[in-house]
Amino acid sequence: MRAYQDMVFSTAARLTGNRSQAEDLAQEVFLKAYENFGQLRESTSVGGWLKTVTTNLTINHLQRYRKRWRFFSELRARDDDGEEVEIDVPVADTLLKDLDASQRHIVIEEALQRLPEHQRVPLVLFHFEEMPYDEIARTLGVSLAKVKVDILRGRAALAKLLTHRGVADVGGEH
Amino acid sequence: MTTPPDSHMAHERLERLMNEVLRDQPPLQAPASLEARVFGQLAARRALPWWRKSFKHWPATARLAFVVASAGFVKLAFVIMNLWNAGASGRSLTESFAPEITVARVVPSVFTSLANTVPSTWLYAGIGVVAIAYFMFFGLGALAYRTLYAPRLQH
Repeated sequence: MRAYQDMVFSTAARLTGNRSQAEDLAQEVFLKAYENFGQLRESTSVGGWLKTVTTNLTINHLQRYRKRWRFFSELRARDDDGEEVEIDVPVADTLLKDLDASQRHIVIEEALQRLPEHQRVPLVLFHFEEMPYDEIARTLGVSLAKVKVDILRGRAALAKLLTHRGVADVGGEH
Repeated sequence: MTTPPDSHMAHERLERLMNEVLRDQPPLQAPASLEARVFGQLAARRALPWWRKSFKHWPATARLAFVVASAGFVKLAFVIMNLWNAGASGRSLTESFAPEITVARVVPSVFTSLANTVPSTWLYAGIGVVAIAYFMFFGLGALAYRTLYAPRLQH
């Protein structure tokens, strides 16, 4: 468990954007691993199994939660999918370069957490879980166009958050 | 609709930049309490009595007794069906279940006579009040969620 707990927790935390939910999900993952201990003990792909189960459990958790409150939370009109996205954020190629490694990691994680769920989840699945677009669309039950737009908007939003943070840090400390 | 070339290049540049930024992110450190929670939950599950666990964890004798009892209930159901189909014995079956049959006949008739004595205006008004109350609480729930709970999730 110690060898994989950070990986499992990270996956859940980045997808949910919430550490306490991530801890609950990580607990559930390891309990499932215990139930399947017999087959996992002899498997060489324990890490892959754990990652897949974590991703699936987290997505199910997010979707179950969203379905339960859908009527309450989505009464207003939503952004359209498939619209052309204009990127007008000036993104420095030296983003966060003036921060040391540990500060960069913290700033990036905080910025990821601040993204709205419909952008953060596909972004994390693409960049961290290395899922292709069509698999993300199938997993989340949305159209391919929506996934592409959400990932693009997520990247733009993340870049904007990091640019402001990077400028603020550079300006403040140096 | 085609993407203008400048926009396409900006998208590609953004993707490369985000790949570079996110590629080197180390995994987050799991909280120290996670291990204790998992092992605590496992110990709690082991401490459960067998009848609170799933069927495959029951002792062999309990599983056998359950299967035998289930088969017995199935047989009893067939016996009752056969008795019901055979006319004379069916009458004796009806006599044995007479109290239950009486209750099953009387209860709906009480409701029917009540409905007949209450004026229809009152009846419809009552249904309307119940419907309004239902939707009112539904709306209150939505308002409470959007004002008290949803904003917390954003942070």
